[in-house]
Amino acid sequence: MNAQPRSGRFSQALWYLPVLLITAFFTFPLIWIVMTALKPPIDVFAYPPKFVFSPTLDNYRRVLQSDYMGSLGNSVIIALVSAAFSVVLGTLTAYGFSRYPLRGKDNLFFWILSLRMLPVIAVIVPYFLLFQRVGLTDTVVAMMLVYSVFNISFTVWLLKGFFDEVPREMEEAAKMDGYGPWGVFTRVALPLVIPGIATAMIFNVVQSINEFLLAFVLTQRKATTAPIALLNFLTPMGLDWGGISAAASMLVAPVIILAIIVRKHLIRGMSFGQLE
Amino acid sequence: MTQIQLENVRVTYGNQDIVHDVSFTVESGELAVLVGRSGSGKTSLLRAITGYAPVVAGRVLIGGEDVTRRPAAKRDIAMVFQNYALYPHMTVRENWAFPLQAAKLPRAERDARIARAAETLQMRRLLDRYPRELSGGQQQRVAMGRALVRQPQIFLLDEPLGALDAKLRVEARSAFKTLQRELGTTTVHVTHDQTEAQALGSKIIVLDEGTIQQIGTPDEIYDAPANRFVAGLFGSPPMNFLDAELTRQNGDVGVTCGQMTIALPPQVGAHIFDHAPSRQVTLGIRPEAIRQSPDAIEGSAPASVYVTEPLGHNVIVDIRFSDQIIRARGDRDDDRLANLQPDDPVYIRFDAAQVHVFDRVTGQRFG
Amino acid sequence: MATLKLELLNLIYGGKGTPSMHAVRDVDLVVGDGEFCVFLGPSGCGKTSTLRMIAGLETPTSGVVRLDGRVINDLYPGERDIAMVFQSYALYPHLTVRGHLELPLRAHRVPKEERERRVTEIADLLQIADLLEARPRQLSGGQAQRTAIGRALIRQPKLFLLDEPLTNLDARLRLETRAALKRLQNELGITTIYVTHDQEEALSLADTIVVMNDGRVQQVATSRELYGHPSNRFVAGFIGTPPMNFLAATVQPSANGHIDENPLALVTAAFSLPLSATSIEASGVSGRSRLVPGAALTLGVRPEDLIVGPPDGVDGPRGRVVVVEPQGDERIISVALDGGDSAETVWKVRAPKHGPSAKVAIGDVVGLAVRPRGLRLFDKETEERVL
Repeated sequence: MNAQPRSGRFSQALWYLPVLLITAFFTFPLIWIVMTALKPPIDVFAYPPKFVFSPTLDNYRRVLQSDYMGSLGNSVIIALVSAAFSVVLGTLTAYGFSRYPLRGKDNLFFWILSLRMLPVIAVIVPYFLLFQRVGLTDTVVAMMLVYSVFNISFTVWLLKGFFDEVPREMEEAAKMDGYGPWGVFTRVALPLVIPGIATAMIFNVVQSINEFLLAFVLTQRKATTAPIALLNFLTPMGLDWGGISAAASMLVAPVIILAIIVRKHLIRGMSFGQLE
Repeated sequence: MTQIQLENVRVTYGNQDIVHDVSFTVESGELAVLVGRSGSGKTSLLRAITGYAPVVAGRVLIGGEDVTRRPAAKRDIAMVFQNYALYPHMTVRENWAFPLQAAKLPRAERDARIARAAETLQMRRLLDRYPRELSGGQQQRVAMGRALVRQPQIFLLDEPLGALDAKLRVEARSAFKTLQRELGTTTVHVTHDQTEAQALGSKIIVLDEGTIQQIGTPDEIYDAPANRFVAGLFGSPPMNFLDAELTRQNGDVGVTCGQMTIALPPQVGAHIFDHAPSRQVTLGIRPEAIRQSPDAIEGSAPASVYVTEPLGHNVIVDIRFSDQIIRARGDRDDDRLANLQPDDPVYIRFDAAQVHVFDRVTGQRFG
Repeated sequence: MATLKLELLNLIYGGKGTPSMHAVRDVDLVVGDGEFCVFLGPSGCGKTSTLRMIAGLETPTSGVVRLDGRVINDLYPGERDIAMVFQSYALYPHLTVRGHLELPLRAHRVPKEERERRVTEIADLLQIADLLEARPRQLSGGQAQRTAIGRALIRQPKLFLLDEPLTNLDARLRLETRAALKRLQNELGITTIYVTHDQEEALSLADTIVVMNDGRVQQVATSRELYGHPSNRFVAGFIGTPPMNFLAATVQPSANGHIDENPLALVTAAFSLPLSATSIEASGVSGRSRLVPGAALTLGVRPEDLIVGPPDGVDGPRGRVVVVEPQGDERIISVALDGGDSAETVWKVRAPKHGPSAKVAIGDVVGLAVRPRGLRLFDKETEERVL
């Protein structure tokens, strides 16, 4: 009859178990790559896979001395500049869509979003011809522009949602307090959508760093990005697993660092809508 | 026999006791109102009756039968929710037919019951509308109807009038009281609104922090509140409380509050004086028991007007008296009251027969 | 410190293909210096739209807004020297209470020392001095509300606007805040406009109440006038809880009594009532010329203007008690009038708990006497009050 309440701590521990399992499942590939990068060549192919081995930095040393570093630099610069540019332009555009009356607003908004939905393969040839005509093939600037097209549409779509959530009364209160349109935007609307901006930034960077097809066609030597440069580890003597793993882990690093920096906002971004 | 009995019921969520050791009985055919602030445990208690809340100790009896372990669906209870929980994709008729289909009622009987409910609730012309096509008041009646057509043993209502505006609420409240009386179904109604509780309940159960504070008729609750909590919950505006001291002069017991001493009726006074653990008590006075005059008269004390608030049929005068604001209520036709300005001096006195004395520590009322 | 004048203000939303809505119609109004004016009406009556036009958050379709004689139609909200408290308080999650109080001062480039002095002053006045470093999510409802009021008042604006500021507070706090707000306004003497749908709030706070419905001003009056002398049926029915009892009536020559004393009677579906010459004289409403035989009217009596008595011996309605609702020291008694069977013929009576009506129970047959000053008559067509 007298059912005792279950110990809270025990049931909480039970909750963590699936969380732990799921986390392990998703982080496993990452851990595997780092492990492979640290293994001597002989251990890479060992079966059953070895979890205990004497780590070596040979793979990293080799990658650091290769052309890959130039491409990685390209990737990081292209991703950051394109993401930043997209966020600046996208935030303003999204605010406009959210707040100002505009004829045919819905159609225009859908058109911007549809840019994102285009299969890359459909636009790749026109882009190539276009850049050839203006002499931008194989340049970092071209890649920044191309990625921005995709990133802006995504940013506008994401941030419009965030701006829509900002209560109009808050902006009206700032107007009453004596601020003009720009003051209202920078002092009230913008601080309130910082979680959204952080989210957009991360997504844009990830998108640009991962992109393969466009970079493959539009770059040759100077502006090659890291995903393309990874192909160089595919040598006539076979795949250099150690090298490719080391290179790949270095490609993931900037994204992870960025995510850690904006972590606080990312979490808030997901639970947005809880304004007091 | 559809009496509801709760015996020493305790409800626990997680590690928190929401309801401690609650016992009460709702007689067959009675309309009982559970009233309390949000978080008082009133909804949990209602859910204990339906079978949705975890009753970790005590018993719930319906019609004398122990149903504590019986699943909600087998208790023959109909419930009306605050948000009505109407199915948006069904018409009024379909909403009403839904529970009857679940009960596998023959079609003819189903139609008959729906027709009867439509008649009772004056919804005949609205049967084929969808909830979104109805006003708030009509939606509320649809929710009532869905409970009604099941002809359950017991009605439970969780703030069913809470979503209506003030005017509609007052109308719906008397319509519901009439309906319940005609049907004679045992009903428990949960509300946080003390005016609604008084208007509806033949029995009011006042709950706070998971414990029953008082059970009584509206008049008992209003005229003889068990403690300070109950006294402060009921009334518009509610009772005023002032720090006071018990005094005894030549055998006459009085309460002194600032410059005012109120002589208590002899027997009551003696009883309170003998039973109070301390001379320091709390005096309670209802707004309508505060008298005011422009000049000093016997038993009055000086005070000043904070603001006046005319309310149509009466006037509330907020008065600054011994470092507190107390509210007095007067008649709308009293021109003097209506013309009082902030900081005007007034003399107030308390009607001795309507003075309540509370234990300052426990809040219990003496006498 | 300021007088506000609205001249034939209109607001039409939409148009250009979408169906337009005439939200505010020909509002003509003067709010005097230091006055506490409340806009009252059901939702959608235009009260908030009117407030927003005063604030500059909405542009009038036509008409003029004047503050101290100066036309402010084309001024940006921040240039009008008007402050506003919003229903949701509109506090910014990223600012502290101090940040909120400073914001309007920063916008007007008030120097730092002056700013700090004013923040301390207003925080003391509103009892939020301990909370200056708190953020909105750490504040209770009452504290958030005081912060919002502080932000508005710190600028010492000419005009103070409030849009349903008490809605989000619980009943007890609402009662306390209401009195405190009225006192504050009285002390500061700022011209104030307050919007609400809650009649109790309006009646208790206002120097002047502007009742609106369908975009139009229905009546401008003090609390007492509004309650005692509503200018039309809408106002009569909107103010008062429970509301005024209404019933359709026609004026007919009196069947009984002396011709010269009681020449006319009001005849309804449920009862007839002699219309005495004295009550007509006392009314003082110009519309009494409409009290001629055959006139179609609506009769109205407030619940407290009815006295429950024995069924015989009174002129007026009789009926059966259907509901008795205790309310503190009063009871609301519903009486189904004889000869009627609609919702209109169930009348509500407000009666003291201790008194002759104390014993009244469901099923009793009672008579209702109308207090001499309690009878109101409205024209059936125009709904204007005629008595």
